[in-house]
Formats: sequence, C-alpha cells, structure tokens
Amino acid sequence: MSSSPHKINRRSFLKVLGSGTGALLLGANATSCTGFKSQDLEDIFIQRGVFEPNLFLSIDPVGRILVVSKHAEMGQGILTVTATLMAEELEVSLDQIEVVQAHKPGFGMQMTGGSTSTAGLFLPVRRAGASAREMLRSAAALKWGVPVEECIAKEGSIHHVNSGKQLPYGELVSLAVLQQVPAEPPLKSTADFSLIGKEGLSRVDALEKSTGVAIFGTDVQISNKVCAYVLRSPVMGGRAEEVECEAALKEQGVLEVVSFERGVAILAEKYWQAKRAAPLVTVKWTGGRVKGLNTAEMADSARIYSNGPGSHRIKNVGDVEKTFEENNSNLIELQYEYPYLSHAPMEPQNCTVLMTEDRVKVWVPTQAPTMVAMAIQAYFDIPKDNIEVEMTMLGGGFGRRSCIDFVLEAAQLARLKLGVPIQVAWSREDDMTMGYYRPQGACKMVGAIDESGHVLAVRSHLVSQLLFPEMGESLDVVFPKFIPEKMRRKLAYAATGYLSNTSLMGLFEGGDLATCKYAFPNYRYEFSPIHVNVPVTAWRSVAHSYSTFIMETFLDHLAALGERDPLETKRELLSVHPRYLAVLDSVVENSDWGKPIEEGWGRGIAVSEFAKSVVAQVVEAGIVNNEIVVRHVTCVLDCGLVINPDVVRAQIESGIIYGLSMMTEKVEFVDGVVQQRNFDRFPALRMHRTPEIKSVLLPSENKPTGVGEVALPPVNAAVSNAIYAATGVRLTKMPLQDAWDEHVRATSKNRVSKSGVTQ
Amino acid sequence: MENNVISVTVNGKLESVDIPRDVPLLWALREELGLTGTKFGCGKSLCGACTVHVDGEARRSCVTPVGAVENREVTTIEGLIAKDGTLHAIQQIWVEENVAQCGYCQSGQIMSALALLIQVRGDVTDSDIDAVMSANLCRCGTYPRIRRAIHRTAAWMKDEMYPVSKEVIDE
Repeated sequence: MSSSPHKINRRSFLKVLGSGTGALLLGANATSCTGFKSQDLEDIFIQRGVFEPNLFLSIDPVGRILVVSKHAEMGQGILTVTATLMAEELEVSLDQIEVVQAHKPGFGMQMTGGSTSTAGLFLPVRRAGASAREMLRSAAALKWGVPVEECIAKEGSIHHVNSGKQLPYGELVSLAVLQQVPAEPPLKSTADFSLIGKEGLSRVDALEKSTGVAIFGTDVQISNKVCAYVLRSPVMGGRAEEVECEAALKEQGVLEVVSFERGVAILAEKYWQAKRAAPLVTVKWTGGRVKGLNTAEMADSARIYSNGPGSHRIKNVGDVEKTFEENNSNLIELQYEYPYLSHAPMEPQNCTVLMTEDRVKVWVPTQAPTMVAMAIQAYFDIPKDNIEVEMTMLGGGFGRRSCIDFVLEAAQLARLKLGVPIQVAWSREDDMTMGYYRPQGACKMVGAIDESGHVLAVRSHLVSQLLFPEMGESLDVVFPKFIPEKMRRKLAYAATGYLSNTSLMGLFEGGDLATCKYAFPNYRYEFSPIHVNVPVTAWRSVAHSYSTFIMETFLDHLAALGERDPLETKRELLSVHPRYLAVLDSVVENSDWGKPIEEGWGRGIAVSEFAKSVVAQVVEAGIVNNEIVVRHVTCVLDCGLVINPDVVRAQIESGIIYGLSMMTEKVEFVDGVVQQRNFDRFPALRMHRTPEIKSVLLPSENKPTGVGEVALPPVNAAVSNAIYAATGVRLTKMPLQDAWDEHVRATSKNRVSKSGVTQ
Repeated sequence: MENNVISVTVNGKLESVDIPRDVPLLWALREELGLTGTKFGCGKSLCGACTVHVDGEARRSCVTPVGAVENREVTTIEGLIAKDGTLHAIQQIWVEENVAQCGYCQSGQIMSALALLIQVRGDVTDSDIDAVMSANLCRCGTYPRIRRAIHRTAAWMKDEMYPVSKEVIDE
C-alpha cells in the first residue's frame, strides 16, 4: 500500500469521522472543486469502495449517496440547498441522499457568511451532480453495450429507453469509477428542474431538529472528555492576579483549577461539577483590554465628531458644499446613533479540542473551519495535515461563529492537558460579555431639497468603530492578542479577502451608506474610524444593519419635509435600477401602502440591496402604551432564481425578526464592564411582539443571490418611517425604543415646565 | 450537600442518579442520562431552550433542582417519539411546517407548545400562544411557523379526541 501523505490523511479522517457519518470522504488531492483525476477515482474505490467523483459527492455500492456541504448550517438552510442542487442534477429525490457538513482542505477557504453560499454553490454543486450522472450513464451504456444516448438517469437509476432495463446507481459505481470525469457536464435547463424552485419540500434537517437528535457543539459524545468552566474578568481581557481554589478542588469531580490567559478554568469530569465548584473559587483580577471604557462617553464623542469633516472621503459626486450654500434655507440635518450589539445565538459559544504532541482534533460549531485549522496550525505549531476540524450543527451563527476566540481558548487548555479532550462551554453571560460585537457609531446627515421637494444634495459623515481595522495597525482588535501578530494579519487578510469586493470602509463599515444607488445630483459620503479596543466582527448584514437604517430614514425625512411621497422620491432616484423599481412596485401592490390607516398607526417603506439581492418592505407600526409595536411587514425580495422558496421565506421571516430585535437591543460598557449579561437585559423579539409577515418572492431567471441576511437591513428604517407617519416623531437613534423613550421623557419634561409644575 | 440517589421517571423509564440534589435537572438529563436533546440557553429561566415536562407541565430544567423532581415524571423531547419510532403529531407537524432553522431552541419550543396544548386540550387561541410561547426565545425568528404549527397540532388534537394529551399524562 502506498504511503503518500494524502492517503494517510484520508485514513485518519475516516477513523475519526467514520462511525458517525458513514462513508464521509475526503479529496485532499482534488484537482478542482468538481473533479478528481480518473486514476484517483479507481484508487479511492479500491481503498474505500465508493465512487467519489468530486469533493461534494460519494456513492457506495449499496446506493447510499452522501453529499458534503461546503458551508456551515446555522439555520439558513444551506444543507437543504446543497442537497437540492445535487439531487436535481443527479436525478435522485431528496430523501435518497444524506448531506453532512465537513471541513475538507480540497475546498480551499471554507467560510460561511455574507449571504454568499447559494450563489457560490449554484454551479459547482450542480456540475458535481451532473458529472456523476454522466459517468453513471456511461457505465450503464458500457455494461449493456448500448449507446449512452439511450441511457437515461431517473430516480436514482439508469434506465435503458429501448429495452426497459434499469440499474440502480449503487450497482454501477464500480464501472463508473473507470469513466472519464466530464470536463463540462451538461446541466439541466431551468424548464426541466423538478426540485429547484419547488414548493412543499421539507428541509433535510427538519426531522433531526424536531426530535432533539441534531448534534450541536456540546452534544458530541467523546469518551474521557473533561469539561472546563471558565471564570472571567469582569473587564474583558483582564488577568487573574491571585486565585484561591482549595475549597473547589475538594468538590466532587473537580480535577484541577488552571489560571490561563483567558481566565481561570475549573476542570471537572462533568460540566455541572465544574460550574457547581465555581462559587468556591475566588479570583483577584487585574487589567483588561477595555478598562475604563464607557460607551455613553464614546457615543457623545462620536456624535460631536460626526458634525465635523470626516477623515476619509468614500464618495464625492457633484458639489455638495456649493449646493448647500445656495440652498441654505432648505437644509435638513439629522443626527444618528447606534449601539454595540451581541449576536446572541441561542447556542452559546463552545469548542472541544483533543491535542497530542503533533495532532489536533476539534469539534466545533463554526462558520470558519479553515480559519480554525489555520489558527491552530500557526499558534500551536501543529502540521496542517494533522489538524482535523469536525463541524457540528451551529445553534445560530449570525457572524459570531466566524470568530475563533473560543476555539483558541479550548485549544490553550487542551495544550496543557495533552491527550485529554477538553470541552469549553460558555455561559450566556460569557457569550454576551466577551464580545465580539456589531460596532457602535454615530452619523451626521445633511441634505438639501429644492422648492418642489426634490433632493439636491446629501452629505453623510459616519463615525464608527472599524469592523476590519486598517491592515497592519490595530489587528488585535479583530483577533485576540494571543494569536501571533503575523498570524493575525494573515487571518484578517483571509477574512477580508473573502468578504470584500470593494472599499472596506464603504462596504464593511457602511461609509458608503449601504452601497447606495440613489442618484442624488450631489452627494458626499465621509467616514471617520473610532479606535477602541472592543472586539467587533460581522453581525448579520454587517454595516447594512445601521447604514441602510440611516439612508432609508434620512431620505424618508427629506421627502416628508419636502411634502413629497417617499415612494415617489425613491422611484425617481432609482429610475435606472429596474430591480429596485420592481420590488418597490410589488411591495406597494402587496401591501396597503397609500391607503388610509387608523389614528396612531402609520406605514413606512424602505428598500435595500445586500449580497446582490434587492428587497423592499412596507411596515405597519404604532405606539401602544409607549411601546413601539410593529403589526405587519410586507417584504418583497428579488434574490434571483429561487432554489427552495420555503427556505427563502423562512429567511425573510428570520431577517425581519432578528432585525426587529434591534428595536430594543444594545450592549453598553460602564467603566469597562458590559452591562447586558443575559436575555433579561438584552431583550430579543419574542412571540407576542412578532408581526404578521407577508413574503413575496419575485420570479427571476437570474443566478441566485443572497438570502440569509437580506431582509434585515431595511426593517428598522421602515419602522422608523412608519412611526414618523404615525406620530410625526423622527426616531434616528437605535435602539428605536430608547429613542422613543427619550422623546417621551423630553416632551413630558417640557409639559411639566410649561405648566409650571415641578417635581 | 450530601449526595443521595434520586429516583425519577424519565420518558417512562425509572432512572436513578447519584448527584447532589441542587444540580439543575438540565445537567442531570444531559450529563447523567445522556439526553442531549434538551439544551442550555441562558441558565436563568429566560429563554426556554431547556423546557421539559414535569408531571405534564412545562418546567425550565436549567433552574429546576433535580431533587425537586424526585419520584416525579419527566418527559423530554426524546420521550415524544413512540417506541416504534413514530413521531408525535406535534413533531410531524413541526417537520411539515419547516419550523426549525438552526434548531437549537426547538426542543424547548416543542415541549412548551405541547404543554400548552395539553393544558387547553387543543382549544388554543393566539393570545394563549402569545402568553405561553413568549417565554421561549428563538433568535432565528421561527415564531410565525411555531404559531402555525401549534394551531395545526391543536386541530389534530381536537380531531383525535385528545389521545396525545391522555398518553402524555397517563404514561
């Protein structure tokens, strides 16, 4: 038997993954995502008895079809999408295949984010399925001695049209491996799709997630596992100066108490034992990366700074200053603010690591398995080929699980306990107070309108903490300090290279105000970075979560003060963008926009683009007992060709509800300490506040575009616009409920002073 | 606190665990009995991810000491499936409605929903759903589908003359 390295890799992977996932196979020697060399297929078949024509697919002689998802399933439905694309071309039904997540070096950078997975998989997975289908047809033709044209793939078998003979795929795999991998396999035409775009299909993970069977990070069963409960500094990044732990060590199951860079870890056989011993450990903490930080002061500074000129000019068209001077009686200004936000996925961060002298196995719910492997390689000096990353289901991601801080933390402990699998499970308090966050910032908007209410000029100055810091400067903001500087840079580049296709400050930081398409005659978008040592990262829809809010409410305000219909204003400024016009027209048609509404309620409209998808929403909202209540959302989405309409509708609902949570969510630091530690003070939207949601998917033959994040950006803007329509009060600060509460306080104070009553 | 052996019926099976009485039921289920379908979300009874039934009523297992369920009947998500593998109607409907996204909170959602449906014997209103299910957080925003699935399960319960509620209560 050959001892070439890739074969050893495959065997070691199989050893670990084999029991749970059956014939899960690797293709470290793939020539591309879609094909191996023919001799490799035979080699694989001889060794493992499967037909594995590419990284995405393997079929065994019993006919078991295993599909590998390149992307992480965090709720967005990518397993179902991957399975659908594969099944469509392979001519099998969804229940004939099994789909699993796996980290495979042959895929290159595996990262799930930016609502890019479906667009990226659309052709590669179909090609992978089509090439297998063609090879199976050739195999049957060879076996029967008939022309391949007479062999049809259908429902998991090859049928001979003339004789009626048929063979299931499993019985053809030994011959299929001898066939040439087609370079350009023919793909089905849209008209022939039997699964893509079809209603009524169940998600492939629906059953396991309705029965408690799905395996998330801390559900993995590993023998001799040791659980770590980590005590942490109240100021993130603080170090333990003194540790008193004798009482804890006497507790049942407690093995050891370890002080390390990230805190003080209590190691025990079981999590409950470690957690139960925690109150018996006293720690004196010192330092911390955000010592003394007050977000309220930061907000004040940012607000003041946003009134001056920006340090970076993202876009500048026409002559904004001259227009402002000439129309200084019609200038309109609004001041915006937005807070840090926690992703708060339902599953707190966790990771399990088994390390030996030169090998590492990681079990982790992650959006970024490649970065997990890269970081372990760099930090612990483990050869790349000896690092295995097994992906569990992700109990939500929203961007948080693209970070690797929790992986390195578990790995640090595993390094101290070679040969022992160490599981670090965060508490909710850990998850909320340890970062990473959506950045905080402020923005000043100034606009000019003419006598008839048309927009003449818009100027923005966004002041925000940098999401991906300028390269080489403060990389330790994004990545924990204990990663070597060189590695941090590499990781940052990898991440930004993956996510960015335009100016970082525009797209990532929102400096171009949500890649705005409005054709203002004059506009200037400026940006100034906030340098602060708070760990931040992409949060569902990234900068669009605030930049769309700013632009869509500001334009609404300009229209209102110019006594024009905001819809008409938008349509005029978007006249050369037919997809925008189409979603706007459809959202009007599918909602009660423009119709009368009862006193106290209003409708707001907003439109946005994210991940090449365009979405428009009409929201009905009002104030009930001083609470903002959203009762109805109509959402129209153009996301290109729809792979699974119900998955898309679910993501519309998801994006809107996650977005509406922003009406009440914020993360604040007081003297360096995060104030929101659990769901009581981080009030995410719940059932009783969930509006009725009407989703409309525009038919399209274009390539699929993003879905997972796209419904979020416009929703807060539409709410603010609806509240303005209902009350005449313009809410420009997020969370919106705070803004309303401040308005109520301010007006009641005025009322009190007017009437001369003092308290 | 002294250990003593605590007897509890879990999913119809008599179990005994030898752990301190103050250990939350959640960890007894997950770590002592290997029932990992019940999830940790907040540890403070704020999110409902850990919801199980104790004598047919919804309880947050993260704040329920295992000692408090001694000699009582606990049902977890794993206990809803019949011995022959048939899904409980509520699970079947959950699958058909494609309720789950990430799925982490869904065990708790299903257990809360089922407890509500048993309590009202299938006669559920939207305000019942708001009142009870607002205690169960879902960050993916599956609420519209949860509501739909509860109404469908309610209709099924009424049609079937509450065999589900009897089964769960009697077992």
